[in-house]
Amino acid sequence: MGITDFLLDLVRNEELYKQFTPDADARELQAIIEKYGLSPDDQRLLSDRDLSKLRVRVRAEFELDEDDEAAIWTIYAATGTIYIPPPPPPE
Amino acid sequence: MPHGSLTVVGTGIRLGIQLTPEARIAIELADELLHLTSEPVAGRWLDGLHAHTSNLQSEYRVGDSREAIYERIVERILAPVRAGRRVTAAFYGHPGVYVRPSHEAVRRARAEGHDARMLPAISAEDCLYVDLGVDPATTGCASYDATDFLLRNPTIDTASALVLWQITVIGDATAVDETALRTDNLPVLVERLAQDYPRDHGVVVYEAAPYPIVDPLIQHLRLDDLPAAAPSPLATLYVPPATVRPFDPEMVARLGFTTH
Repeated sequence: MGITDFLLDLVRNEELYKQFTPDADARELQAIIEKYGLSPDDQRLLSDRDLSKLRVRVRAEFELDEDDEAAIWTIYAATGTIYIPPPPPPE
Repeated sequence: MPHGSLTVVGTGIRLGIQLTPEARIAIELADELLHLTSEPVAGRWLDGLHAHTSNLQSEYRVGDSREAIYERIVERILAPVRAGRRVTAAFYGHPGVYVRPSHEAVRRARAEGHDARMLPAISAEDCLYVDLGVDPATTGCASYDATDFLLRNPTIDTASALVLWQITVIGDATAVDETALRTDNLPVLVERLAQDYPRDHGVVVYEAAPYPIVDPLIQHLRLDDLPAAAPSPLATLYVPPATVRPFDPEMVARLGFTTH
């Protein structure tokens, strides 16, 4: 089981999510994470709560090809409200 | 034409835990769920919420104009509505904030006689307020797409907060990929802001956390250090107020307030 499955379980299982409060006991959290069979590197990613590194790891698990990856980033850039000004009126 | 319905919802920013109860019900009651998120894991989560789902991500093709992408998304959403089905379309964040296809789909569905509504959700700006600990009521807050901000060149009120979105794709009207971010225009943004703010004014590069149990990205820096900061692709710029706006004494008296 990888990070993606862990994250999905976390949001599908309210009882599991409740255990990851900011003041949760670190050893208890470690025990939960270990139960998922995550690698030491993945465990460290979760402990560090580092968004950038976790995102890279999650995307790697999806084995995205170049186009998929580009499309995902594009969603952010292209759903926005960028305003393209109309051409100036004729003289 | 058969009578269909469209409900547009937002998933919030954090995977799985910011979906409102009314949005979840709209998903459950739909015949079909179409979704668009910026995280693949969010797409997988949404696929698990309904038996008939479809991912709109395939409408994105690098290099296409945004207008072409919007049009394809709108038509994908409306096709089952026109066939008389109950459709829910889920967008990440707030479906009505910085998302043009959602508004257009609702507008077009209504114009064609279908029932259509949009439900509110948690936006990235909502997350910004709590993560940075700022309240827009304190000083007021203006919010712009960074490119739009530069193109329209609005008057800046330095006594209010300023939020600039999509600072990594300034000046790009097409779909881009991560390797083609337009951070080369960040100096243009800094140059414009420096007309109103000191170059050493403290600003924040921010990105809301898309996953549960991770922290948001919050980078404090000086305005003139922004181009070298290598902001993440989804970064937003928060510019705190640089000045204090005094009360208008005439209005204070007129409204019956007293000053100390």
